[in-house]
Amino acid sequence: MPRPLVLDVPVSAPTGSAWAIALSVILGLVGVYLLLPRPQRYPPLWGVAATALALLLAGVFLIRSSGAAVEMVLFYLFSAIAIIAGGLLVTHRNPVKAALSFALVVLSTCGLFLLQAAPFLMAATIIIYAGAIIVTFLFVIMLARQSGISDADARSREPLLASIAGFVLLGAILFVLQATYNTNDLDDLLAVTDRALHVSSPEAMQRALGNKREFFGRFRLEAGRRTAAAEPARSLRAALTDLDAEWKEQNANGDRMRQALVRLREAGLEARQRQGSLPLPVGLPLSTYSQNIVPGPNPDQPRGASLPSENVAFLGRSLFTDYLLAVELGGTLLLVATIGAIAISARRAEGLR
Amino acid sequence: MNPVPMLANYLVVGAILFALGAVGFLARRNLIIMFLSAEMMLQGVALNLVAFARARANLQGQAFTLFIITVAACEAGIALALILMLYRSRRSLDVSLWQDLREAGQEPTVDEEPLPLEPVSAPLPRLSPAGLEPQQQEETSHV
Repeated sequence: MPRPLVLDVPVSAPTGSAWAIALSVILGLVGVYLLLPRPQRYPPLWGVAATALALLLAGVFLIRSSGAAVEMVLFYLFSAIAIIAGGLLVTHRNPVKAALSFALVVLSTCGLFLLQAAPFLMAATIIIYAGAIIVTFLFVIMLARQSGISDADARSREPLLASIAGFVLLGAILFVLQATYNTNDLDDLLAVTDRALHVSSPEAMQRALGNKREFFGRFRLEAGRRTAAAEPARSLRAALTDLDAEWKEQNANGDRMRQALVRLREAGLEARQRQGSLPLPVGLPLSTYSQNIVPGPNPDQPRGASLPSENVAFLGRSLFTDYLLAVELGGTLLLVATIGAIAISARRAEGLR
Repeated sequence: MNPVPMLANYLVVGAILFALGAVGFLARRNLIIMFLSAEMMLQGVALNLVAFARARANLQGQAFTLFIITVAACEAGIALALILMLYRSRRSLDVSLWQDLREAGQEPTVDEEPLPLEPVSAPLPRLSPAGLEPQQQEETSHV
């Protein structure tokens, strides 16, 4: 009995089509361009409307929710706060409010860290950035407190070129993500295969699979896309060849055809699960201090593994074994930076140079 | 639950934070806001690394993020010291005041549009100085 195709590996991807990505990036560009500070401002309502529409489009088309409801709600909440506060930081004229919205960006990013099983990093970021933000705040109050509108805050340098540069970069990243993590075609093919598995006679199976050339062509295309992960592509091609042989046979045997379809489906699920991941190097000794700490059901496959729940303990173990030298260098870097900051900012008496 | 599904979502958010920070760094002229935008770009990168650490069950991503935070702290110290020094010599946070450092042959940028005038607020009410007896009219009725 075939397993039903529940997406036990729901790879949710930025499944949006290229048009959704392009539309939201262009709307975001227009909105940020309109909102950037300049002496004669555009009505802020237009910029806010364009940016809100871009965010809405991105949230609907680029983010695909998976089963876990609470995690998705928290994800939407934290990422919306982070992005809106980031937009405020970039566009607000008042530096005090910009510094406050940077604090919001850091706090909501810390929420996202917590969702991604990194409680130690959340605490470290809050502690370090809280100090940094307070110091920055002091600077803002000390230096930027001149009354009135200044050149620094009310003007932008080349707002159009700057927003084009930033948003073209964003569009390129989003297109690459879509090309890497999109599984819509493969899901469609797997659903067709699953429908064919629910009928018994070989003729009905062939009818359920639809046009043979189209079906095989689309599957071969999917196998060809997975050049980075050679193993799933090879098993996918082998399963296709088997199915082809069964299909050509006169008075085809229902059971053998079913077996070929099951093999195809397994290979497709495997390819879907390893979508967007490079294969691990074979035969290279990997440290066990940072990975494979909690092995998954299948020890050969790192995909089933999960992070240990004692985050601080194991992160410390990783830092002081694999990264010992880097930790020491980081400490030295902090020392050098402290000395440098003092040397730069100290008021020197004129004769002492 | 399988952590892989959420990976791409977090990558999208990290990319958006990075791009917004890039726009802010390129477009704004206040030194402190440019510094904060650069910090926001680092936040986007850190988010990417943490998401990959979860998806691949590999603590190396989190260790790397810790080093990013270290370098960001160093950068904050040096940047604020530099901003203080720059402010001392020009009495302003405007980065365009330093455009004589530009490449040879580049035209200087000139701000043509005038800044809007400050809205004039109504003058504050004046109180008579404390400790003086307010002037009064002489009493006219005598009983």
